[in-house]
Amino acid sequence: MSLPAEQFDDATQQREAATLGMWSFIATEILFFGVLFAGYAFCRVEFPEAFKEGSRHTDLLLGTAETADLLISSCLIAVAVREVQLGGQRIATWLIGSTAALGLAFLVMHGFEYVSEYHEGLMPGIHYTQSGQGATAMQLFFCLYYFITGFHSLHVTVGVVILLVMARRTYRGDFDQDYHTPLEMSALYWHLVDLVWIFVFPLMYLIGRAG
Amino acid sequence: MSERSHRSGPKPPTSRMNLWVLVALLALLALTVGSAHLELGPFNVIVSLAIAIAKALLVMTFFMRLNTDSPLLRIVAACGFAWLSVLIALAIADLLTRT
Repeated sequence: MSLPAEQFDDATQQREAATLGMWSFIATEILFFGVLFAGYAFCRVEFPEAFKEGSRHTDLLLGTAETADLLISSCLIAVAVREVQLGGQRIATWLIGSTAALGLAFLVMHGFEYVSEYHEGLMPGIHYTQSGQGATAMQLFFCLYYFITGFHSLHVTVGVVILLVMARRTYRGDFDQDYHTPLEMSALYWHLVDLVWIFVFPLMYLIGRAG
Repeated sequence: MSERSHRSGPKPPTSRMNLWVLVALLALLALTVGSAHLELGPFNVIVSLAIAIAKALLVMTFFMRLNTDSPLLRIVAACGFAWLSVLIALAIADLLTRT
């Protein structure tokens, strides 16, 4: 059993400090994305029709697949932490690797979306060929879309790298029933990525689908 | 079983519990995609946001283990969302009350 760092009384206190720090970080991340969502709410109240029209230009099938992908990956990493806690390092390594693979699949799917949106002329300032009523206001929707999904994809990329490092460390046997805090914190980060996407999906992909 | 669970944190949830949560999340995903295609007027937004909140709560409660971990963490998590709701509510209140 690895000894707690010098400033802590015992392993329990050390773990509590780590989780509290991680949750504080998650709260700041909620506010980081929250600002973008507040901007979204503001612009959507101003231009409801343009936002519905913009939403209809997104790819619902890929969006749904990406949501399912992240939800499944979240479950896998949750089970992986449980396995390590119960001594199943081998299966946990596979589960963490699969989570990273699903993260990568998410990035590939989103990459395809960006490419087809570029070809459709939906990138304000880069390649925007929309015209007609509401096309100007629709640029706001797409600016927010690229900022929110872009920052989210950046978080997914960081998450995949962290997960790969954790898979390697689990494989090497760095974690056991007593010590696995880095893996637990990485899992929390990965769930955060999932949480953000849970709100991106309805707000970006679903609002203009009715009627 | 208890001597095999780790000593520094709460007991991990069962695999079955994790899978049920995943099933519930995927069912909610199907529900939100389906309801988005129905003409519900203003309720489209309300339904899809309610489903998103339900999904987020499921992830935080079970996958992120807020249900069994220290109560302090629930307070920190709630703080993030509380400040966010202040931010959005005041921004929208400004916009809706302009004359």
